[in-house]
Amino acid sequence: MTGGPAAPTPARRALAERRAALDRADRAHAADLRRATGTLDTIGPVLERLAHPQDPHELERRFCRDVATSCDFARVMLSRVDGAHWRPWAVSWATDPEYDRHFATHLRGTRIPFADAPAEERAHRDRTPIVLEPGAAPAPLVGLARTYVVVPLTGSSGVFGLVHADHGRTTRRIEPIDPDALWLLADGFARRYERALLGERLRTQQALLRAALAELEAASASAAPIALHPGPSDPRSTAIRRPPPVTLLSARERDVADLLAKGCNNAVIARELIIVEGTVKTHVKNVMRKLGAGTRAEAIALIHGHHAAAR
Amino acid sequence: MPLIHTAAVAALRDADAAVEIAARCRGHVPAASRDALDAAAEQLRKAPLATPTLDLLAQVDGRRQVIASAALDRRLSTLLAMRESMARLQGLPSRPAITAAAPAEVCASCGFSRVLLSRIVGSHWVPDVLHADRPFEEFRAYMRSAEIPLAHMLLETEMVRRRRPTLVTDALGDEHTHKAIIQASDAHSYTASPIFAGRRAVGFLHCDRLGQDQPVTPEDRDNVWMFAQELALIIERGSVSEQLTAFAADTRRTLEGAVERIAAVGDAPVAIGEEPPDLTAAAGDDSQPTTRLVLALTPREREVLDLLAAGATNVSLARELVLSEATVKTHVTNILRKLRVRSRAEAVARYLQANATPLGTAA
Repeated sequence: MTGGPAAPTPARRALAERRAALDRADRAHAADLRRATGTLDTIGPVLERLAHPQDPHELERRFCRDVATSCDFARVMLSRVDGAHWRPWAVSWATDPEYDRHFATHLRGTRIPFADAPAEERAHRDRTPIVLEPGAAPAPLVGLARTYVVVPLTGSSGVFGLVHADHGRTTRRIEPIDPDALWLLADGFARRYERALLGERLRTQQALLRAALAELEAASASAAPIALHPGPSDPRSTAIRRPPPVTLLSARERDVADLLAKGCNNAVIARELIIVEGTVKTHVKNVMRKLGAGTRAEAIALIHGHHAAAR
Repeated sequence: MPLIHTAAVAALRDADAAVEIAARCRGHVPAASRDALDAAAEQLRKAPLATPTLDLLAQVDGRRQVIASAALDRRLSTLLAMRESMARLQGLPSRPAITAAAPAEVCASCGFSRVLLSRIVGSHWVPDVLHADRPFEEFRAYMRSAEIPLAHMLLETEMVRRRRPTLVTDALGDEHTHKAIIQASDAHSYTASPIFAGRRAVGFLHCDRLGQDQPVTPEDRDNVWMFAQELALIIERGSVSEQLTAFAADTRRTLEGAVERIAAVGDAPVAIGEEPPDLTAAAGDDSQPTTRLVLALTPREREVLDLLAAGATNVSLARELVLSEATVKTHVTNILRKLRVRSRAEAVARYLQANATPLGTAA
């Protein structure tokens, strides 16, 4: 204890303390800046990656996952807006894949009235990001996040969805830059989603026309035999082939058919119905066989035709 | 005063001047000023502890933090301004209105002094809409007749090929820039992005900060690239929703026409010497209606067929679609096979017959 440098005088100690305080402040500022810069840096690349998928369902999944992993949120949730309600639709929890399953069985599609969710109501009405104060979360989100940010998804026909993001069960706070960053991402996503959806509608139109032309051609090929009485019609000679009754389908096949008609691919159907893709393939094959459809597009057209006839 | 202190005071004075310039034109504090401050802070931290040294260190640190925070704020506010600009463009009624307004929006939101929107016509770069803070009469005169071939090794050609933006620091010295437009526009440092509609390059955005006492930065390049991608989506959205409406209208017109003709055949009275009507005009002489065959074509093949029907040769097709001639030949062969015809002329004739209603994807 005697060797070392001379004991610091009080004045020297004060100077050293001041230096240490300056160093701490500088490091803290640099860290804040690095975090914020990192968040902004991810916006461009995330949106660029989202430019490619043509399938809107693929986009939904990719958006939640990409934002969660690259923007340092624990959880990102996409909800659809249905009039006076919003419904959680897709989620990604970067650190807890188990949550995806919990979400699929318990939360997905739950209708939450805007009247019960003031933060969401404001984000929807004012078309602006909202940061929710701790403890004010509506039912499906309580117990998970202390605080979260919610931003609207705005398309040409108004607000069609919401995006929630939070830090999961950790005590991390929402950084000041988070709401704006999420808003920018949501805006880019909304544009890509609308573009993909319109593209899919164009493909559906073409598939419907193809199916209609195929039906007419089949009808013109089968001429009814000339008979004395028009009589009770033989179903096989009916001029226009009616969509076969969907009652031929099993309950599970009907579930598959409904999703098929919405344009879901096998992977999405598998996720929706919580079955493996191989099973989906079998169901789809059986649906196509029972409906007499040669292609998926034709099956979709026939299911749509049946629904239209049922209405 | 110790040498370290003198250097720190000089760095502070220089930084203050730089901050003032940057604030005036919403620009960046030059890297040299920031580096000088960082170096001063490092030296002051190494110097023996003394009150004047720490006073200076507090000042230098404070200035560094202010500059860094301001840069982050400006970056975020630029992104938010771009967001507003895109929302305004999305609200415009037509595609021509969007392209006419886009350069002004890029200028205002990203802080450029000049933005040029160009179209790609065939394999040519055609300057279209200029927005600038000054008249630039000479440049506008040049623009009116400019049609620059997208030649091999030209910077703009590379942008299209690699689907990336570019940043030019010395426009005249760079061997890949197009000298005529550089001289006409008096450009020194600029950034440019290609605009892609789907897979096809349809235009460029060129931006600079002429008269702002500072060059364009990588941040400017990233902003323009983002704007170009969102602009393309806004234009595509308009185009696809027009196609959706047109497809429904075309289908209705064609099918209603067919229904009328079919009904008329049944209603006609029995007459001696009735000739079957000429069906070639209605459906072609094949059992497969051509309309349906055309539906079997890929979008790219339909594009080729559209141009073929307009009288394009393989060479002009290759130029128009920015493809090699061999690829064009493959497309044409596939079209002939799918339409079940033997020659290009036959393909065009069939297509035109079927096309009281064009099914081609109007790009």
